[in-house]
Amino acid sequence: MRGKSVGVAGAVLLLTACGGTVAGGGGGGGGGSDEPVRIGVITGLTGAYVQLGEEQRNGAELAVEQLGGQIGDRPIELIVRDDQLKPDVALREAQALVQEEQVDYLTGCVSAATTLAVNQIATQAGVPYIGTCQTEQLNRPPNYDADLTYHLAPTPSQAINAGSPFICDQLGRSVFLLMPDYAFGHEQEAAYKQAIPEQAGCTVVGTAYFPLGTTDFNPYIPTIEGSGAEVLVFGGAGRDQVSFLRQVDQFGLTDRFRTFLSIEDLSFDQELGFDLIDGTWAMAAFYWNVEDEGVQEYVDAYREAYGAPPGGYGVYLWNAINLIAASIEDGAETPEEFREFMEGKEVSLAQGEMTIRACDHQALAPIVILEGLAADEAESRGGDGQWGYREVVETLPGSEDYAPTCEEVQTEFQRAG
Amino acid sequence: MGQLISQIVLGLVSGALLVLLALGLNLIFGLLEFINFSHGALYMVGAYVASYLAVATGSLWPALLVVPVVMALLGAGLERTIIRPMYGRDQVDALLLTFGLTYVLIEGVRMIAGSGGRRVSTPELLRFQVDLGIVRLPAYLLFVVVVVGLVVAGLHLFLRRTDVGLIVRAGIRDHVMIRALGVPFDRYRTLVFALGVAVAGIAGVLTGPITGVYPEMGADILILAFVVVVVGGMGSFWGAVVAGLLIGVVVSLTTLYASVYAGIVPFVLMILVMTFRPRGLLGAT
Repeated sequence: MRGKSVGVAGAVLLLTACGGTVAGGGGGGGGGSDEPVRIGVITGLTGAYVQLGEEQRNGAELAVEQLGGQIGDRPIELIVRDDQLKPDVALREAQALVQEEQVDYLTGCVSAATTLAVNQIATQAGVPYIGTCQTEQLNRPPNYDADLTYHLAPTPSQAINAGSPFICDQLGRSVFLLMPDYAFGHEQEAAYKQAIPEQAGCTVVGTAYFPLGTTDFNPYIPTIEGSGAEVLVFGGAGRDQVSFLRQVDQFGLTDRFRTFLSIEDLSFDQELGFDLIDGTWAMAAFYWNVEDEGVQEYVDAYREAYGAPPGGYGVYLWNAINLIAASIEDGAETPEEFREFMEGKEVSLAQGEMTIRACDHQALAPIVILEGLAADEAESRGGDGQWGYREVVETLPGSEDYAPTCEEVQTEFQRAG
Repeated sequence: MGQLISQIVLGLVSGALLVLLALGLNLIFGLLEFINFSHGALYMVGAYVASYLAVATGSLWPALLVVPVVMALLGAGLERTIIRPMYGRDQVDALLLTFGLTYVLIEGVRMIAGSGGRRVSTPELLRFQVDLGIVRLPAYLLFVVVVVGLVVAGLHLFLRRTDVGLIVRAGIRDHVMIRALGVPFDRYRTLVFALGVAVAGIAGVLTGPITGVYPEMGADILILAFVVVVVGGMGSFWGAVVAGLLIGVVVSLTTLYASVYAGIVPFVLMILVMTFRPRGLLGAT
């Protein structure tokens, strides 16, 4: 009996590890014409970043709806798949989209871990891929394919280079980093460790990593408390961020440390509520109450469609679909023509003014610094009593100053051969 | 040294919730020899019920009393309908059934409450920290430790010191004999299953203010609860308690010295136990 029990325990653990959640894929779309534009979206519809994945799906579907379901005379066929935040699943789904659905474009991702898998399949198949999550690696060798790879989200270093002066000047000069233990977290650590010391008198006094999907942050508290830092920078998102802020608040850390979130999203804010957000700061590539015509048009349409303002991740998909549509309307039919259309493109979409620079197809778009508000402050400071969890305290326009220069990028490509 | 002790104390605190979840799982396995894969999903349902009750009543306190009752009734209903036919069948059947139940519960909650999480506030009364000299602990976490302690003690007394507990334990050894003595043993099986689910519900209520409430929360923690059960010894009451606390401390200490490995140490511990002591730390020979 006992031996069998141990065997069954093994099976249980295997099932648990394989489990998680039911894949939530599902197709969209048009069809009905001889030549539809097939756009494959791969994003995380289950797992730690489910809200971000759902926002991406919403952003894509909203864009298609606003385009009337077609680009010129061609109907849009939107096919949305769930990567479950797992690279192997992303690889499989991308393969299926390319081979079975014969998509013309691929886009979407909420995790650096899956975007490279999708890009790999896209470049093998000759399909343009528009990455929509923060990563340094997508448009760098050996992943970048100049004919096919594009990146609309900021790289972590872009955002961190933009945000570090605020951290050091406004929050404190000794910084502790608590980062998720996967590519995105390691990229953030490298970027902070470069950007923070560039600010006079500012230092990183310690770093710790937590596994993605951590629910218990208690063991990190003594290390943070003992670090002597003035600023606590948290690099996680989704459920990790919700658990983290709840627990540091219970320990009273948000009163003793200035807490700065590397990544903000309205869906996390909604789970956190004003009480936990008050007294924290954050950085984002999009915030719904930024005063910009393009941003507000998107926000209004999103609110009308989904009953709430958008978070920060749907905007990349909305932009991606609109860029694809604009390129086709401009006569771009092939990946080569799409590249011509995209390179150096200056456009004002739902993130505000944006340039897609030619040397690495990286979008240069604004970064905003946000201050968390208490419920009673939200309205008095011109915001929204229901959704105005944060106030934009600084907007940093998209600029090459925050990214490696094109010369540096070229050198990197040459070094990699 | 101070930080080391803080780390151990926080590890014990983290382990406490793990103990509670593993205990419910182990209770059902130890007494019914039934592996309840849906334990994590039931814990999640308990947390959701608590979150709605907290909104309705403006406080988490009523949930602490109501949720165990609601979950016990749900557990009893499940046992009487879909669990009971599994007794005596291959354990893989039970595993598959409860695997399916897990997804029904998760997707059901998603349909009712949406994919996003729900907020559960820390009770107003416990929004302060207690300075223990070496470490400052949130009063809420101390409260969690106290509740876990009470549940462990209560379950132990129930099983060891009551007639019902005696019948349950005797029935596990020889349920044919117990039935021959005229004891309606099926009712006791229902009771044990309901009790295990109620304990999962209490864990769900207590977790809400710590992590928030979301549909996948049970899947996240179930794997660790199973590791605790295996390390402690499948079916061993005190094994689950010791292993839960041990894993909490080991993870906490690893976080201090090598945080990148914190996620894998429970599994390393499990491999070591399964290799060198397959019956678990306190499992029966």
